[in-house]
Amino acid sequence: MSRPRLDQDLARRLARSPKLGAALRRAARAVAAEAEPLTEPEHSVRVVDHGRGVRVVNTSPVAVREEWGSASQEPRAPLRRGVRAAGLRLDETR
Amino acid sequence: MDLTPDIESVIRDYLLGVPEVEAIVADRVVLKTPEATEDPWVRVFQLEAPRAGKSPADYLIAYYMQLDCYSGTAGELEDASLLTRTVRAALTEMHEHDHPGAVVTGSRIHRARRFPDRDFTPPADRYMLTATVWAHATQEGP
Repeated sequence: MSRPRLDQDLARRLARSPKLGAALRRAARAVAAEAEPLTEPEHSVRVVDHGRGVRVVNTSPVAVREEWGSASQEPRAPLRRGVRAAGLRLDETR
Repeated sequence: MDLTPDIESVIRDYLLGVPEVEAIVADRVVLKTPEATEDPWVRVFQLEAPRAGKSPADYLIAYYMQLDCYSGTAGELEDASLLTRTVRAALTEMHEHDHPGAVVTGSRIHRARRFPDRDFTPPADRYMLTATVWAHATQEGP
């Protein structure tokens, strides 16, 4: 009976997979589409593919305030809401 | 019509009834920033209220909340820290208590982070709690 072996190379091979990359970009675009209406000015939300992963970035000069709020502005949370509205699970522990 | 609970008001009223919270903030658990910001205060904000689980019934709601705990401009960092930890403990026990118009079935703290508010000079000490509170309306409705 053979013993199961841990595939140490799996993560690296997955990261190079064109299919996974395309899926990540699709998911990121969905998040960006949900987040965009909650930001100002328009077109502040970008999808950035940096080769080792895909990020959704709010480039607004007031992005931090939009996301987390302040005394004078309630949180709009475009990125957090965008992730959830796109049907993804938001992991806040990272 | 079956209305879902007004969870912001439910949480506000609950926290105001917790002696340990009330001892710090008196009546300053608010839904909007108070005019006077010298003393500690908590702002309760509902980010989202999706239906929980896969049931088609719009019954059990997973309220995604942000609670901003401020020391107040006259306070110290330690005040904000104590306030946050007290609110966190109270939220965690929320399902053990009765609430007008709502049955809270559980709560989960996602994150508690120190996040100074730069609307103030110098920046005000603030801790930010994010949490999910699961709740549905009582038989009598909210």
